[in-house]
Amino acid sequence: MQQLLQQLANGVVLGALYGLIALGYTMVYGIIQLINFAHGEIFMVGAFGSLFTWDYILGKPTTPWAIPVILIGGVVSAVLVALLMERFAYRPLRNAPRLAPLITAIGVSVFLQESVRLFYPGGRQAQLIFPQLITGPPVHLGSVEIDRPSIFILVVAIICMVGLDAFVQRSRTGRAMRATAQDPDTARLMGINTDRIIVTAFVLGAALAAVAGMSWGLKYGFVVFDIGFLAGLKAFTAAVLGGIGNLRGAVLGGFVLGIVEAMATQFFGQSWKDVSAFVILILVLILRPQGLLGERVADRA
Amino acid sequence: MKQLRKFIAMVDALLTAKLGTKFGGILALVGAVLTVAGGMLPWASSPTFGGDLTWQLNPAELQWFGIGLGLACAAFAVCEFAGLNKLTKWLAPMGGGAATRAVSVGTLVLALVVGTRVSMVLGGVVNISIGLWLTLVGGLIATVGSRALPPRGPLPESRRLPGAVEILFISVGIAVALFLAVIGLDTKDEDSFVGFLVLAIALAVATSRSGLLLRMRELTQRHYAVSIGAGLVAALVFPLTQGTSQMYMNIAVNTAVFAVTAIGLNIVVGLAGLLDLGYIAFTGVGAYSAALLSGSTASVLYQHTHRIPPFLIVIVAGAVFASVFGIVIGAPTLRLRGDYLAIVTLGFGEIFRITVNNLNGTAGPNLTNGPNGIYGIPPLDIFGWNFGKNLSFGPFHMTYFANYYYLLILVIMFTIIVFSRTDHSRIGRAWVSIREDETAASAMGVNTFKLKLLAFAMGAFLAGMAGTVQAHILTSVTPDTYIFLKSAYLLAAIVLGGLGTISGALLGAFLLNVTPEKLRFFQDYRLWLFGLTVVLMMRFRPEGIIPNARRAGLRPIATWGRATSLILLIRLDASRFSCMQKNSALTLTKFLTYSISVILSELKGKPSPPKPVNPPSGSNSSPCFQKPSDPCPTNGMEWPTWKSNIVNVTWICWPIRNRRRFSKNESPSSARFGISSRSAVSWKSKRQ
Repeated sequence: MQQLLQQLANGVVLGALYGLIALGYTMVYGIIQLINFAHGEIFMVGAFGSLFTWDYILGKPTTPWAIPVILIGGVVSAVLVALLMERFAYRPLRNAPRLAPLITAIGVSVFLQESVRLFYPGGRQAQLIFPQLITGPPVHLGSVEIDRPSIFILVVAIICMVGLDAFVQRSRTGRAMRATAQDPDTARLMGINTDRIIVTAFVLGAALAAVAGMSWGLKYGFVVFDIGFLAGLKAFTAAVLGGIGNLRGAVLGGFVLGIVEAMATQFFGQSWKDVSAFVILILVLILRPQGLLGERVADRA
Repeated sequence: MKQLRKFIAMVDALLTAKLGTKFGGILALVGAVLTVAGGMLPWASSPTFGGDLTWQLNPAELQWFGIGLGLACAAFAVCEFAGLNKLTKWLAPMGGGAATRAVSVGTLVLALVVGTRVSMVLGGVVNISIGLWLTLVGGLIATVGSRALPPRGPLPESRRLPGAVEILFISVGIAVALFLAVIGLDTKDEDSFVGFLVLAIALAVATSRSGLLLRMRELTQRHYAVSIGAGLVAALVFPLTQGTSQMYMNIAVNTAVFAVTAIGLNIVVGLAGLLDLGYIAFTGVGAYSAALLSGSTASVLYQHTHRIPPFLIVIVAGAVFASVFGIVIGAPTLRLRGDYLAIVTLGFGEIFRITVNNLNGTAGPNLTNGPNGIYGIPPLDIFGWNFGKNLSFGPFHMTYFANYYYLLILVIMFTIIVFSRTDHSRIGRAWVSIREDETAASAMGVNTFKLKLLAFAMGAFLAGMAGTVQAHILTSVTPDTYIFLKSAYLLAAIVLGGLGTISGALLGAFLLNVTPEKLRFFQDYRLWLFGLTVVLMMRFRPEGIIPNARRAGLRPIATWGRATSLILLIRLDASRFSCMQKNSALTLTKFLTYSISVILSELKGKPSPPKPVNPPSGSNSSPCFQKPSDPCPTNGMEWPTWKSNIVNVTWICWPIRNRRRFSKNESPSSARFGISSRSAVSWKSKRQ
């Protein structure tokens, strides 16, 4: 029982990370119906951007006060990459057949991964050490033990999610985003600059992914050039699970997926946990393709 | 990009005005002569670079490439001068001007690349000798001169020659291509290979711009059997030329396995339009089946049974296993949209790898030896023919790879037959219609789900087949062989070569396997470059190097599909035109006749018919189509329904040709009903 609760706590932390990344998928999908395969790599670029800021700009400090700065570094690099990606890879293909942007996304994904591997100093190493800026003994909640980076992740993730929700629901840009997602043509008729809204979706998604990337680094203590692949895949699963296009759904899907994965680790062992995510993805697609919170929409050709 | 194009056009216009076509041609000829002369003179001051470029009148490889480019430049310039006569009708039917440009730019690039490398390797620009300078100047002059030449013209009708002569042309063409390929493979070092690439690309662009390639294509299509036979003979002879050297045979065998898989993937992606990102897993299923049944001591099955089934059974079993996997994974997901399929196949690829890793006896039952894989797979043995022994054939002695090579030629032939027979059958047409527009296809009565499943299973079958052979070639199978990047690599190959064509898949397989072998320095960067290639290809040439004829041509299927969906929509919406029905039967009749004439003109491929007096698309002029804010004049319908009816009517009646111009904002309703004309070609034409 104690172990089960412990795994549950781990699952929630993991789920927070998945949820953060999944928001990026779901936002972009909601607006331009594109599965941005390269979003996982944006997460990775965010982690590397933070590491770069810590390593080469700040000069390897050890105080936790460096976190905001390296977070900004990560966010800036991820947003920059996402902007370039949107402008040069996706925008020219906006009216192309469906398959074209998907294939491009694969290309972008491989390109980003290899760029980091080849051109980041030491990027080829199996593991690059990420600074452990949050130290201190783990916190005990009853019999459950949670380490401090995990608490940081939970807090930051919840702040980001609530912030994003407020932004999308309350702000003018947020309303424009929802309008564009519902009907881009009508939105344009109403004077919304849809190009800008699409860029905004990419930027917000990238920023959240970068937050997740840095948190991931803080928690696990290392980064590798290929962390984005599995993380992106699972975050996509989370987005589908919650109902793709639905922001709250993505968060819910992230948490559910994280918990399921932790339970799979508990019952089937560490080596099968990655399979559980995909099994869930397939089950969701068979049983409830619109996801947990999604509404059934007609299949658009 | 746009500015660059504008600038080039400006320069062209200026040069044509100042130089005139005639003087431009003379300049191009002078440049070509200079280039050839440069090739005869030394290029570098020291023999240590590029296989000794210091000799006079005794060109080394790189210098030969320069001379070749110079000669080609001269030939095309002369063709341009001569106009269309009996000979140039064949050599440069579309005019030699554009081809001269391509070749002279190639010369310039070659001279610049070699010059840079010489000064890098030998330390300083002083080491560039007179010959290279001459080539550089020649290339420059030819480039300037050729810009004044007229652009390519239309392809004139060809006159049929006697069959024997045409076949002779084909054989000459294939011989030249083979000769070039052998030169490329035989280049001694990387610099020479880069030089060869420049030569090959320049010649390819030039021949396609001059219309020579189109002529060759006409010929090969007219003598299809002969061309296929010639290609086959060339493939069969290749091992004889390699003797007992293993290097290229090894590459050739790997390329062949890759090619089979790529053709299989091209069925799934290119024909049916389903993006499969876990395709390599099917190869893995085949390979693991073969390994388990191979009699390897590490195989659990062999340890229990001590029996080895004949390979013919194994190859079928592996392929069938793979297609069963394909069906299992495809059945739940193919009902959904294509995007989900992509991600689920990606997930499936990962599940396969993880599962194979875990079936090691500790995390799961022992079947695959986990990360160690199944090793020590014995060579194939078909009817007593041992594939592990070197192959001898009369006076020719070849390595044991030749056995696998010939087996794979058979497998490739089988794959090609499967591909082309289905492509040209009812099934293939249905696949293409699904790819172009699934809604329209299902409206036509195509069982989209079954056909997509068939494509998926068929692709998996071919991949599994390739896998069974691959297991024996590699002699061991490990989970790491079947990672996602391999799938991405396969995808890059068919995107590069051409989606939906056999030759595209073969070319892609060749390029992606041979280039990294020849350019060692490039090997670490190849994934990076191929990621970039995929992005750029999708952006600038989505149809690949060898475009699909059906895609590039009239696309009868897509037209039929659009026409049918149009009829369907008219029928659907006629019942909803309460406004129209009440208003006047006349409007309805006008509307119907107009729609039918649009359909007919679309089928004939003619421009749209003259608009009716009272065009339904003009929403203000007709009594029925008023401003959207007003309630419907006849039945007082509320705004939303009223609006959607207007939108539908407008979009149905809008001539399809006009609709193509709506590039930026296609109507949502047209997208919803699947009558958008989104396909590779119309999308390209839209951007212009």
